[in-house]
Amino acid sequence: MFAYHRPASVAEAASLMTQYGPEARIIAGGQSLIPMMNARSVSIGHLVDINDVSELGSMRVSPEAIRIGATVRQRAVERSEEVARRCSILHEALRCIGSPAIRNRGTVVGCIALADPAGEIPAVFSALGGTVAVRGAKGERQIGNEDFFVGPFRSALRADELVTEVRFNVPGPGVGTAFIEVSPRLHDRATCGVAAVTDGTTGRLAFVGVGPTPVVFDVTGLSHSISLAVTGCVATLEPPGDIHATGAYRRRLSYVLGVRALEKAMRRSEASRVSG
Amino acid sequence: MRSLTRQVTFRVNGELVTAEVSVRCLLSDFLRGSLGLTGTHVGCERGVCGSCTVLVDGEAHRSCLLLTVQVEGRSVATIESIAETSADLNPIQQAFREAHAVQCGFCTPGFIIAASVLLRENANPTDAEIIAGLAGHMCRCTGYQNIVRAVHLAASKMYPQCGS
Repeated sequence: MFAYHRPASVAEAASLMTQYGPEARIIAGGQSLIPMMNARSVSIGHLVDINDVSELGSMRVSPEAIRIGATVRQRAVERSEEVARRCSILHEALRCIGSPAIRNRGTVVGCIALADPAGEIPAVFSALGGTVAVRGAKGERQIGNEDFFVGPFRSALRADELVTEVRFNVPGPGVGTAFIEVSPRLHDRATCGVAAVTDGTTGRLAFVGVGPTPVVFDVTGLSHSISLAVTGCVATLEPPGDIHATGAYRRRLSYVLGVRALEKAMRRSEASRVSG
Repeated sequence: MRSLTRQVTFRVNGELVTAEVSVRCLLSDFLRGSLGLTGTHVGCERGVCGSCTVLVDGEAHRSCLLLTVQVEGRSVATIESIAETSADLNPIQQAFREAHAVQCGFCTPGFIIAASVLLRENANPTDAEIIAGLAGHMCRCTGYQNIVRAVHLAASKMYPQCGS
């Protein structure tokens, strides 16, 4: 049994997290947390519902960054024409999540905070780069994408902290992106997913579903051979096996999806450089 | 002392409801158990089967993934609100019947809620758009093809001026 709190401000939410720390959990969308609660796989003393905190409900798109507050729904970001135009990889990845009803309630920040090793949003966050804004007992801090994911479903957040906003870096002009995943059914959890970002010569690949956290590679020589670049990355992966796929199959998927995603991203990069 | 219950006020199928509920009570359980609206079904409590889907302020939501206290001030519509009257089926329900898209009926309320949202936003959906719009609803009986046919049939009846 848990106590339920519905703070009206970030300060109030932070104060509750400071007071109740390890016993408290933040709930925004709840589309991952409530399944865990229903399955009794998580024990919560204090549920802190931040859906009424209006400060957390905005999304801002600029040429450099997309800033998404903690209560912004996945559907709102998916439906944003500005996001689709400036940061199509985020739009692509969102369409792979859950199902329409899940995305009506689930949040983008929730996907980051959950730190699912097969998560689409963590893949995109790792490939684009960005930061997470966090509020805790000691005030505010920023955590970079390379430091945020610590292990499976474990992040660098402390017990008294909540994420208030995630910032994705917007790809610069001439940069192409792509996100591809394979899953048992359309909206299932990814068996393997890849986010690719490239300027035509160098790039970054972020793989999910193949390790305890997103696995990120900076690649070069793409105008020479995509296949060689991806082979080099995949050789260092140690993907887990489970009931959905063996480690060997995940390794194979990593190669195929890595090549496909990079090829797609390269084509888009070239198209955007040609059109100027 | 922990507060284990909380008062909540919200609309269900147009009527104002006020209740003192346990904070742990799921919306699906409140609708079924406290209000007797058993058209909403509970299949998985994980959000993957779709049988618990209701409308919250016009948008499809999984009622098994909402605490009742979280719909304070909102407007919830269940499958019971879909028919114009209890005697007449609405065009989507009629189409499901005609296209043999119902067998045991467990998934049907969720599919009809999803179809109502899809057809509200897209008067002449393609097969691919229907499949994307109804994603997240599982049927163990029909094999889905008649469900897709039913949505096409409903679209043609609701928007005869559109489409193929």
